[in-house]
Parts: sequence; C-alpha cells; structure tokens
Amino acid sequence: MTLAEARMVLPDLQVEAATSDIDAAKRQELARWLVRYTPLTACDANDTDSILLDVTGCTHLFGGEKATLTDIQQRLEAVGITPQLALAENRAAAWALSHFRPGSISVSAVESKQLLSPLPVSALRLDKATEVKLVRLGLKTIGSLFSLPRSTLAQRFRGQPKKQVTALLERLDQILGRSDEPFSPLVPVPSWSVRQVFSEPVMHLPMIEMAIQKLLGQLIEMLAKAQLGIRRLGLYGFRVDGGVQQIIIGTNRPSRDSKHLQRLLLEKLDQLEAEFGFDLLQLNAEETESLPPVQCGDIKAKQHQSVSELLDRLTVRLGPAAIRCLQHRPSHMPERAQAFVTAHAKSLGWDSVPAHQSLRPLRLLTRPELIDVLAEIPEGAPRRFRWRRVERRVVKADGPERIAPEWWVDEGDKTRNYYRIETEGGTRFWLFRSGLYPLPRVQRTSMEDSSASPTWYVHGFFA
Amino acid sequence: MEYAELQVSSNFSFLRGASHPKELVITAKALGIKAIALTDRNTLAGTVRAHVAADQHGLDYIPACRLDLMCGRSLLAYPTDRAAYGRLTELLTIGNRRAEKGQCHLALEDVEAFAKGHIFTLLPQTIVGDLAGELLQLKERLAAPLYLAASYGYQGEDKTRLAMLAHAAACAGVPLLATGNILFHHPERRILADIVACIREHQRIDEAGYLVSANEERFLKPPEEMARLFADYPEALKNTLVIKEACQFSLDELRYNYPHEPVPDNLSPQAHLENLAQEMIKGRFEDGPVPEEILQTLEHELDVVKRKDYAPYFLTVYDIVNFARRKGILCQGRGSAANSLICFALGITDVNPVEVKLLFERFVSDARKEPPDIDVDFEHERREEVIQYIYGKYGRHRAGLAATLITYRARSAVREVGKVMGLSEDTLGALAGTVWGSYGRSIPDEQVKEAGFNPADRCLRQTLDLAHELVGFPRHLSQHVGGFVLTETPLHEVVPIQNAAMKDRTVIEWNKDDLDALNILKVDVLSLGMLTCLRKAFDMIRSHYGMAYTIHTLPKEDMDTYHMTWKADTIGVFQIESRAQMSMLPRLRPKVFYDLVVQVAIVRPGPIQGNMVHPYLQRRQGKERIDFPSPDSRFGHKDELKEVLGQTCGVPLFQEQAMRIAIVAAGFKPNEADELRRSMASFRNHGTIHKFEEKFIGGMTSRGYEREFSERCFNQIKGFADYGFPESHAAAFAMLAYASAWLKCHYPSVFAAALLNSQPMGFYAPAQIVRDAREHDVEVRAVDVNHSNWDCTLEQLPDSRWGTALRLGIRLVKGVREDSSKALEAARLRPFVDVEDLHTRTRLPVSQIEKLAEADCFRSCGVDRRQALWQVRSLVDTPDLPLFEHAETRCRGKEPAVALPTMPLSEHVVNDYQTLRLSLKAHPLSFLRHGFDKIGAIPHACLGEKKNGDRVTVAGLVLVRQRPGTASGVIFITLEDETGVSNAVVWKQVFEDNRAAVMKARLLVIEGKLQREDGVTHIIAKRMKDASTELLRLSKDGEQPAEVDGFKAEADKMNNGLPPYRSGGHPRNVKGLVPKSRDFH
Repeated sequence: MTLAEARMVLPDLQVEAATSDIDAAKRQELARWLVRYTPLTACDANDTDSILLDVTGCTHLFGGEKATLTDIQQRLEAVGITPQLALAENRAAAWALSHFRPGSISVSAVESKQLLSPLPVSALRLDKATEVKLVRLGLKTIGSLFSLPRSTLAQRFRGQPKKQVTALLERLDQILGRSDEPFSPLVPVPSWSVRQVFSEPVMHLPMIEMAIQKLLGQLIEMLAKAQLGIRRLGLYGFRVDGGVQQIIIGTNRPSRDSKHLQRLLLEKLDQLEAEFGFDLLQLNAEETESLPPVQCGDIKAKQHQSVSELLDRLTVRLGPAAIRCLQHRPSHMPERAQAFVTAHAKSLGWDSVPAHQSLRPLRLLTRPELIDVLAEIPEGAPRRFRWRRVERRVVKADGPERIAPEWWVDEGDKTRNYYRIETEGGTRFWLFRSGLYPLPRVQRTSMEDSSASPTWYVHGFFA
Repeated sequence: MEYAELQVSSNFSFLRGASHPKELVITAKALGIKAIALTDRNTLAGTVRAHVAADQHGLDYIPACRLDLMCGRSLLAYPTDRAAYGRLTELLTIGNRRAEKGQCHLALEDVEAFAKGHIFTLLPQTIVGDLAGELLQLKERLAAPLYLAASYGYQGEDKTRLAMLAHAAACAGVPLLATGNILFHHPERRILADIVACIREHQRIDEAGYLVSANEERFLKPPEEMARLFADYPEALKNTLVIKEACQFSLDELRYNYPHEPVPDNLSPQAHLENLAQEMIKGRFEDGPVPEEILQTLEHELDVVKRKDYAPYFLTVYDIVNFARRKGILCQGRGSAANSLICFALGITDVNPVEVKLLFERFVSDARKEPPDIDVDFEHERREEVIQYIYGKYGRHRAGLAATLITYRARSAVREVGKVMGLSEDTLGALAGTVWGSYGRSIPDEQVKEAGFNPADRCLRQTLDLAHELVGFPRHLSQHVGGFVLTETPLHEVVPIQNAAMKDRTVIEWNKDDLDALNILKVDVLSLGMLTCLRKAFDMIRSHYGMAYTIHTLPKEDMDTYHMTWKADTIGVFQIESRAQMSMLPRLRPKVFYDLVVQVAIVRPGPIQGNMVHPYLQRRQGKERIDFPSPDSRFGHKDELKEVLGQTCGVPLFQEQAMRIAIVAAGFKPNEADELRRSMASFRNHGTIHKFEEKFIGGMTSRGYEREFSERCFNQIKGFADYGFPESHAAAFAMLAYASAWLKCHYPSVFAAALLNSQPMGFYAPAQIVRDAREHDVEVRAVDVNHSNWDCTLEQLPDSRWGTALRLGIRLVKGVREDSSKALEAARLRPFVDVEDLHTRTRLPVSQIEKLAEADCFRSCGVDRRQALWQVRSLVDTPDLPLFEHAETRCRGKEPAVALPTMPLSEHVVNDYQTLRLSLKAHPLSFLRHGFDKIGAIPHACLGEKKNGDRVTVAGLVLVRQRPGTASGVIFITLEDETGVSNAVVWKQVFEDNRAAVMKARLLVIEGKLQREDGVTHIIAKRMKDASTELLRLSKDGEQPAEVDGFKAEADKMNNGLPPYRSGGHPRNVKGLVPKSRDFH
C-alpha cells in the first residue's frame, strides 16, 4: 500500500518519515552495549530487526544460560525495550525461534529439533519464491522437510538463481547444526581521543602546555592516517578533586596544523582552573571533516588558509559573535541582498551577483531617509532635493531601476525606482521613489495604490 | 502612434511565459496595438491559438518564433511567406529531432540553411563586447534582413543601454527594433511568472533569488507608452510596422492540404466520391432497389460535400477503412460526419442514418467552419497494422500523430505551486487529496477546511489562488492516442515535428483543436477492444456453426436480444455492462435500436447533471405526459422544440440537441452555438462557458420559456463540457452494443470465448465473464495441457443447449508466454502422458512448465496441481544440443516415493485464483458460508426473496468500487459470493464512518436495507465490516502440519495454546489470495 492509498483510507493518518539510518545507528548502539554479555556481538545489515550474540563460554559469568536470558530481558525492559529472545545451539535455530515463537526461550540441542518442527518454513530465512513453492507443495513446516529424503529435496530445490545453490538444504543443515554459519562481530568505532595520565598532579601552565603539545602531536598523527581534519577540538582536564575542566575550540575549515591548533588552545588556556592539579588530560577531536593531503606550493590554498587561521584566532579571542562577515544573498531588494554571518559559517562568495545588475552603492543606509524632491512626472530623475536640511542640486542622473517588492513577503511595500545621482558638490547618492505615477492606459497591480502620491528616499552613497 | 508587438512569450514557452495566447491577443487588441507576433521559445505550439484568437478579435497576427541557439545566441525569426514558414517548421523539426523530447538543439549553421525569406532580429545578451562586429557577421552569414531588438526593462541603465545598442546598430548598418520583451499580458501575472520559473528550476520562492523577476515591467504596454519610452528612437518603433507589412503569411494558407493519393488521376475527388457512393449504396440494399428517399438524401449530402470541398477527406477515410476490410480488421466509424449516408454507403459505418433519423445537416453544414469529423475505431490488437499502413502509404514525412496538450489540473497545480511556496509534503498531500479525480477545477474553501487547514492563512491562500490561476496552463506536449494528420505537402513544412516519449514515434506540435481550426485533415485511428472481440466471435461462429455474420448482417431488431437486456443480463456487452447502465436497463427497457442509442447516452454526466434522466424515464414509462415547452407565441412556433426533442420524449439528451436548443430556443446564431460547443468540448479549462450562460438562459426566458427548464438545459450543456457525448457517437456505440448483446443472447459460449480472448477490456474480469457464461448453461472446461490452446476455444458438445463447450485458454495462466503455448500446441501431436513427457517433447523452459503445473493444467495426465508441481521440480533445463534433440527416453534413475499431503479443495481454489484469477472448482466464499450463516449474512441469491425495505446482511468479494463524479460522494460497490452478485450503495456519511472498510476490504460484510425499484435491487449500506482476514482461513484450514511425521501433539499445541504470532496471519498477506477489485473514480 502506498502512502497515498493509506491516506485515502485514513485521511487523518499521522505520517512520520522512516529513519532507517537512525534506526540502524540505534541498533548498533544497542549491539555495542550488549557487548557486556559477549565480545562476539553482531548486527547483520540484511536482518534489520535482530541482534546476534554468540554467548558460547560466557553464560557462566551471569549464572547460566537461563539467567543470562533473564538478565538481558530485565535490563532491556528497564530501558523500555521489549526483546524477543531465543537461545539455541546455533544461529539459525535461535533466529527461527526468536522470530516465530512467542516468549523468551532457551533450548537445548536435544529439544531443538522438536521445537523447530512446527514452525513455518519462512523461519528458515528462505527467499520468497522458494517459500511459496514449498507451501504449494504442502510442505509448510520445517518438520515436513526433516522427513523428506535429502536427495529428493536437493533435486527439486537446486535454486533457480544460480547463487542460491541448495540454499534450502544449507538452511536446513544450519538449523540442525550440521553446518556453520559465518558470523562477523561488531568492530568498535575508532574514537579520536588521546590522553595522558600524570603520576603527580600538574597545575602549572608550562607543564600543561607541554602535555598538550605532545597529545596534539599524537592526535594529529592519528587523524593524518585517516585523512581527517579537526573542526572542533576538546581538551578535558580531570582534577584530583574529581572536577572536570574543559576547553572547546572550533575552526573555520578542517585543520591538522598542530601549531595553529595549539595556538588556539593556548588562547583559552587561562580559563582552566587547575586548583589542586590535574591527574589526567584528554584531548578529543569532537568534530572532524575529510582533509586529504594537499600538494605543496599551492599558493592560493595557502592564502585561504592564512585568512581562515586569522579568523580562527580572532574568534577564539573575541568570541564567535564578535567576528562577522557580510555575505551575499541573492535578492533584488538591496537591503536583503546581503547578510551578516559568523566567521565559522560556510561560503562567503560574492560570485553569484548577476552580471547585468547595475551598480550598488558602497554604503547603504540601514533605514532609507525621507527627502523632498523636485522631479519631472512621471519618471524623470530628480532635479533638486533636500536631505538633512541641505538643498542639493543634481548635475547628473541615471535611472530608474525599478524594483518591485517581494510579493511573498507581505509588508505593504511599493515598487521602488532607484536613481543614481551626482550633486553639485560631487557627492553621489542613491535615491529612490516609492510608488509609481499612473500612466495613461497602463494598468497596474492592485498592490500599487496609485491614489497615494509617491515619496522619495535616500538609500545609499557611492564613492 | 502605431506599434506592433513583435516579442511575446506566451505560456507555450513552457514554464516561462505566464499568459495564454488568447489573453495576450485580447489585451493587445484592447490597447490598440496594430499586430502581435508570438515568439515562443523554439516552438510553434501556441501559434494556432493566437491565430484563432486574433482572427476572432480582428487583430493582425504574425506567426513567428524565438530561436534559442546552442551557442547562446537568441534570434527572433519572422517568416514573410508560405515558403519561409515551411523552412521555419523544417528548421524546428531538425532541432527537435536531434534532441530529446521537449528540447530543441539548433546551431547558427542550421538557421543559415533555412534563412531565406525570413526577417531576423537579434536579441542582444549583453552590451559588453563588440556588438557591431557580431551584427555585421550575422548579417553576412544569414543573408537575410536583420534587426537588433531593444527593450526597456527598467534595469537602471536603460538609457545608456539603448544608446549603446543604437550605436552598435548604426555602426553595423542594422536597424533597431523596439520590443516589449513580453512575458505576460497584465502586471498581475508577474507573480505567476515567478512561480512557473521556480517550478521550472525546482526552487522554493524564498530561495529563488534572482530567478524571480525584479519588477513587473514585462507586460503588454499601450503604443503611446512605448512611444514615450522610445522617444529618442522613433525609427525603432516604426520598424515594427515595417516588419508587420513584410510578413504577409497567414496560417490560413495551410487550409485544405488534403493528400491526393486515394483519387485516381483522371478523376476529380468529388467525381470519384460520387461514383463510389452511388455504386456502393446499392450493396447496402441487397434485397431490392435502393429507396428513393435514400437516393435523394445521398444526392443532397454529396452536394453539400461538393460545396465544402470535403471529398478528399471522405476518400482518405474510405481508403483506410478499405485497407482494414481487406485485412479482415473490424472497424467502425463514428463522429459527426460518420453518420452520413455517404459513410454508410462506403462502409465506414454500419449505422443507417436514415433509419435512426440522424440528419446530416446537424453535423456538416454550410454554417460550420470546421472540417467534418470521422473517428474510426479498429480492433485494439490490430490497430498497429493500420497505423503502419498509413505510414507506408503517405510516408512518415506526410503522416504524423497529433499532440495532446497536457495542462495543469487542480491537483497538479496545487502540488507544484505548494512546493514552490514551501508548504510541507504532508500539507500538499492533504490538500491535493481533497480533489477526488483529476478533472477538478479548483479547491473550494469548504474542502480546504475539511482537510483541516485555515483557508484565510496568507501563504495557503496565495498557494490556492495561484494554483487556481495555473490550472489550464500548458505543461508539455504528449502524444494523442490516435489522431493522425495527413497532408499533401510534407508535414514538416506545415508544423514542427518533435520526438515523442515513445521510441521511434514522432508527434507534431499541434493538438486536434489547432488542426480543426486550420482545417487540416485529421483522422482518428482509435482502438476498441470490443471490435477485437466481435471479430473473434464472428470467426468462431463461422468455424463452429458455419454461419457468416458481420455487424451489418446480424438480424435486426431481435426481440430476444432486447428481452435479455431488460433483465440487465448484460455482462460483457459493450457500453451497457456497467453497474449504472445495468440499473437503468430494466427501467428503460429498449425495444428498438434507437432506444439503445438513448440508453448508451443517458448514463452520462451530461444528462445526469442536467436532471434529464428521471423526466425521460417517467415519460417513457407513460407516467408523465410528453409535452414540449413552447415559447411565447409572439416569438416562435409553438412546436419549435418538438422538431428538436421529438425523438427523446421532449427531454434533451444529446449534445446536438443542446446545440439545437441554443439556436432554436435561445436565439443563438449558428456560429455562436458552434463557439459554445467548442468551449464545452475542448478548451474546458478556460472557463469561457460561463459567459454563454447568461446569454443562453436570458435568450430562452425572454422568448417565453420557463426559467427552470432553461437552467436545466444549460446545466446539461455544462455536463457535456466534461464528457461531451453526441448522438452520432451514441449511435455508433449502440450498434456495437446491439451486436455484442445479440451474440451474448444467441451464442453465449462464443461470446464468452471471444471476450476472454480480447482481454484486457471492458468492465469485468475473466472470473465474472466465466461465471456469467456458466450461469447461461455454457459448460466451461478448465485449462489443460492436452486440450487448451493459447486462446480460449470451443469444443463440440452436441447434446448441450448451445452445442459447444468453452475450453479456457492458456492465456489465462499467469506468467505463461504466448510462444511457450504455441510450442506446446505444436508438439501435441499425441497427448502428453505426464510432466516429463511434456518436457522432453516441447523443450519448454522448466519455469514455464512449472507455471502450468501451478495452474493445475495436468489433470488429463492424472495428476493434480501438487503432484504435477512435485514432478516439475525435478526437471532440469537441458541445453539444445543436437545429440539430445531426439532423445525422448528417460535416463534418470528411480526416485524414492514421497507422499505429499493432499491439497484440500479450498486451497485449490485459492491457488486457482492466484494462478488463473478464477476457479471453476468452487467459489472461495462457499467455504466460509458456515461462518457467514452464524453472523446472519445471507447468500446473494436469497436477496430475491426479501421484500423492499427489509434489513439484510450480505458478505462477498468486492468486485468493483465506484465513486462517480456525478453522484456527489456516493459510492457503489459490487459484491460477489458463490450464489451471485449484488450491488450496494454507500451514502457519503456511511462512507465516512466506514471509510477504511470501504476502501480496502477485499471481503466485505454489508448490513443494510434492501431497495427494489423497477426490478433493480440495491442494498443501501448502513454498516460495513472488513472481513478480508477470513480469506486466510481458506489456505490455513488446509494447513495440516500435524499429519507429517508424528509431530501432531506439538503442532496442536502451537495452534491452540498460543496466540497467533507471525505465522503469515498479517492482513496484508490476504492480498495474494483473491484478485484485486477494479476501482473507478
């Protein structure tokens, strides 16, 4: 059933997008936690609702097989997860029992065959086609297969797609423990973290600085192998009295430059309160980004790097809010065509300004200022205008550039007509008239209320 | 001040322009612009519409095109004469053909080659660089008059820009041309232009940046405003008129471009047609001389045709039909001109128009400007042969498929606009979901509220308003189902041709309305499943009963056939088999052929919306007096409507009658009525119909008709707007309905076989057709490897009622290919004794044999489905080595015997449904009857014993769910159980309360009230329950794992002691058990 069909059936259906990646991550997390029961824990990507534990030789630690199951069940239920558990002599049997038999169960090798028999053939993890075939032949349970001569089955279930050669027999063998099933246990994720333990608590800055330098060297070596660069770095100082101090720094672009990173850390080092001293220092690369090695002598990259390093230093020193850049935003409205962003935001390009756009002033007034203007109706440029109580005579003018309000933003704005003006003194203004004069037989949109007469403003200055 | 606007992009520059050509033309005329040229981007798709509108409003129109070249240059091209126009269309064809669908790849070299006779205008991209040099170079390469376009865009430096353009133009000796660079007719449309730009680039409006327009200046401006803007360059304005004067070509010159092929060299088309018609009419009256009345009418028709010069048209259609006849392909013409004596004589149609009183004038007359309309239906399986014949005869350069213009509809418009406006996917889904069916025009406020939104919300309101405006905008061109354009001159010199989405198919850029408007010959080569069915039936009757029938020679007015229809016994009969038709038949009780014509036409949105059905039935049954509304005696003869409505008891039922009323009673002029018809038939999105409403109702009431009657008439016209259904079509369809009903009545086994062999078609699935046949005493035999062919066949059965039994064909088996079946038939010189025998003799792939085994086709070999399957599974595909080819001996050793559990009957039935979509063994519900008895559900067959108004409960498989647009939310459900079929009506409120059950149940229990009227029985549903999971029991009851090997006790415990847990019991598993219902919205 598609979502659209479901909606027709239940119009007020609540819909949530599937988050298979998050689910997978959570399952991984759960599997990692389950490592407490056995180091051999696995999450099969093709089998999204199970986690596999090979507890051979581990159960005695928890008081036997039954007790292990109970322990797992109780701990999971305590955090709101209802598990469906089965412990059997092999993976296939455990899978079948956990998926097709309600309740947790621990089965001995002797009982196994008997308990598996009534289960439907789908418990064998067969492909759909084989399953349908079996059911058509009346072979609906695993037990009905046990009784058939092996050769007969082999002949009839060679498996059409070549790769599933005797898939059925293989599954049967697996579930009866006649053959092994490969198992790929979870590998722990690498954590980019280095630490140094001190036998004597350190409390003096030079000592700490030396330790940082050493730790940073180790960390960068690790990251270089993984071709990663640091975007966020955390330094944790564990104090003898149990307190933890931390310093977090961020970078504009991924970096593996130990000098640069150290400098950033040192900027903030005085924030650390060592008191009775640290007995452990830990350095974590908390956010990393891919940073492949760069060809030597790339001058442009070098320049970029020095600017961004400067920004990093200023940001560390003055705080992230203090450093702002003007960023271009594509919009016809002059005041919306740029915005301040923090230095750590991405992309500062001004390349997207269209080539045909006429000149924009160097300075834009935050708020356009109302002026008195003498101009020719309907579209003539100003001849004379009064701004801040000074009368100015226009010697040169160009325009109008007509910019209509952004209709999807409701602000009751009117169309503006911008003029570039040079006055007698040589000052160059950017003026605009808000609103249009009616023209004979020219219809306008309802937004342009022609009854109110247009008003004039100064909006900016050219060099 | 005079001015012509020569740079205009309409919404046929797909997702660029924001006005219809018509709006642009009308506005230009109102502003006093001298002429307009539509310069859409690499296309002429909108040009006919603009031409027609300009013609209507008295504006000069210049066909032209904007050529956007691959090198980035843009040129406007204005052809000055017919030859140049032909070059332009050829140029565009070349560009279209070398690019993928919807694109046009042109280089300057191409333009050079076709430049002769054109005037070009360069659209400067930038004023930076050596523009003058560029102009000089272009002028030399194109060797045609060249202009430089200049427009005033309010971009800030327009004056400088104009001056630089003028300077460059002067340096190169190229004149300057003032243009408006128009994108829309009114400034208000700027918003829509922004929206379509965002749709095009998949952007959200608030992130679109410079994609949206800076201002609204690209609208049509009055000449005096243009004069003001170009005050310094008056010659640039004058040049617009110079070009206008130079371009004397009009699209009207493309008229009557008929192919000459069908006419012998020494004869004129008219003479040839007259000879043919007069000779062939005799063949229609084999029993005696041709009646005088007929001859006179024919004479008259030929005379009209002569005056209108339509002879080549009739001859072309005749030629195509003749081809089909020679090949034994059944076909029938319909459409206005098809119901003429000429077509009857030529064998294009089998409906004798005189018998049915269809008057030629109603369809073709001097007043109508359009060419006659003949659609020809062919057997759906063999239409391709006809198409290939046409291509072969006229060549691909002179025959092409017409386009269909895909426009935005409410649902798609809301979706796309909503996406641009940044509404969430959920919101859009819910909004679009409120439009049921895709023909909706706009979404009313109540519906918005129903969906849980606030219609006053600004963003939502804007979205809805804009979506409403976008409805009707062309989106892209697609391929018409079968509209063929035939021309005398090469087609690419008439209209650009482009690639279709289908490989190796090409489509012209115009749709049928455009072609009609230009009087270009168009023949609709359509496909019809029923014709395939009829031809197959006639073939079978010939071979099994030795009778030769054709549609024309079937016994006429057969009362047995009509009596059958009175019982609504019409499963499989063309057109009158739907539930709605079936419920009408016992009321209407057709007695003569014309009644069938009415029957076919009456269950349509037009008559239903016009409230014409009930009055007609009342009058027909004599419950109401037949009278004819009259005008005030001052204005007209009191019987003026009797002429029009005499045949239909005074109730207008057909499109033509509505037209006649407009003329006779509402005082429309014939051409106005024509316009009215056109506005309802085609450009339905333009909303032009409302302007006629006033005139129509006003016209009638002022002449003394009752307002209520005139409103009903007009409502009916509006109903036609969505599904025009003229009498001429109804007559052609009624002919097929009669023919198929006759077959069903007299040769039910043949009819069922032919229907099954023509699937997919019609309203019912094979299961219902087979069931129906069995109910008519036809013995139906199962598919079997030793008896069945690919098609269903007849087997002699002399003692039975019909003399033959129906053997189901292998085509019904899912997954078996026709070539496998043919190989099997070929190898069947002696019966196959078992599975392995079949395998060695047919050498079919094992997978195909397995399909046959799964469908239980080996019964004649003494094995059932399960055993056959077990045997098949042991087979191995052997390579086709010469050594083994004749090795029919068995070489494998003996296997240990295996006792498989026997398959219970219920499971066989389920498997039959899965592999054949039907079962001859039993009905699935017969196994569940016990359970239904317990809840008091009665078999459908028992409904007959119940009285009107009784409370009843029934259960059945859902065959059909229908929600007709005309029934204001009512849903009709057809249920089937082992005893019969019943119909239920679900009112809107009941539907809302039981929505999930109604919409997804395969097995439905309905509790409700029985309603019986005129022999039609319905259940008015009150409560419903989805019982689909019951179907699972069919295969589960048979599931007896206990019998295998002594695990009995354990298995029992499993089944009884524990809750069901993932043992295939999920409702979604029901899906495979019975075929899906057919749902119609």
